[in-house]
Amino acid sequence: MNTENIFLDEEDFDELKNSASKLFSLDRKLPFEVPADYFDELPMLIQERCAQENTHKISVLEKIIFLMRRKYIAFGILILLMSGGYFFYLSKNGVQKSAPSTDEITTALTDNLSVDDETLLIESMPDNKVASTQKTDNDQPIVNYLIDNDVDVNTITNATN
Amino acid sequence: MQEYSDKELLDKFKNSDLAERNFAFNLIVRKYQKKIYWHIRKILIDHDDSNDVTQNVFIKVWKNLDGFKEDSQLYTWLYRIATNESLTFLKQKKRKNLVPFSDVEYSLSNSLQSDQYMKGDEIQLKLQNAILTLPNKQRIVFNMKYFDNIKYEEMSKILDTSVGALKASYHHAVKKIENIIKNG
Repeated sequence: MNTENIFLDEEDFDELKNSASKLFSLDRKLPFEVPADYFDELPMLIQERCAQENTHKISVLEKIIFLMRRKYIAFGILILLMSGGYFFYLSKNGVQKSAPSTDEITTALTDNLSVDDETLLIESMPDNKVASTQKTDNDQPIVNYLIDNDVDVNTITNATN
Repeated sequence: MQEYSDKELLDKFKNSDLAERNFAFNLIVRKYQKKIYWHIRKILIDHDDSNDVTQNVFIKVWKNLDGFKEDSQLYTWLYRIATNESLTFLKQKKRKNLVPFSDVEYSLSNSLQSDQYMKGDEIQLKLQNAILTLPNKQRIVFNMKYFDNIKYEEMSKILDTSVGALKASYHHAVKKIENIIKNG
């Protein structure tokens, strides 16, 4: 049984004596007991539980690391898949290169095509049809006729169709 | 056995290898186990409950001692943890059993009769029953002053309550208990 009997400070002692004479007269003992050797064994029990908590703490930590590792592996796989997909997309688009613009073709031809080449090109075209914008001396009477008779391009188109 | 000061024990715990840490912690437990246990026992009454909570308190201390700033005394810190853990235990008991708090007091009162580790004369049991009629915090204040003679200034740090409020609380508790004992 806990038989500690602690005496109060003077001020508290007087207060208790004056305001609660019955309570003051009692022995300040607790009616509680503990099992035999309880306080000899308690530190050991506590140490054991601390050790268990430590193990538990480590296992929780390991679990977190394991989960994080799995997460990172999954993330890595995702990155790889996405990169693979991107490169596949790029390579597929590389085959379907867009056609050069008219300006690009004209520049290239002007820079690189000689008169002989041009002749070859015209010859290689089907039916040797080529639109020429250059006027020749033979065309002049026709031009004059068209101007004099006020024939526009639509009339000619309609007539030829 | 050599008696270490709290400062020495804390230094030993914080700045040593695992074996020394365990040794220092063991000394802290041995130094304070009785005070902490009896403080908790006065709140929870039942030995088994008090034993569980005492162990939980020291495990909490073990986990948090590295972060203990030494702004307060180790003893104050331990009492504060013990008080909080005990009150939490009572709240959990209330929630677990889905009963109003008055019934928890009733069950504490029952423990006074049924706990095998209870041995006191009639007047001591009567006093404990009277103390159990107090609200929890007032009961703690009364116990700390009446049985342990803890100074109000210390109590103020432990319970985070002003000295004036603690004095008033103790004064009301004394009056109430005196009435119960006289009239009961």
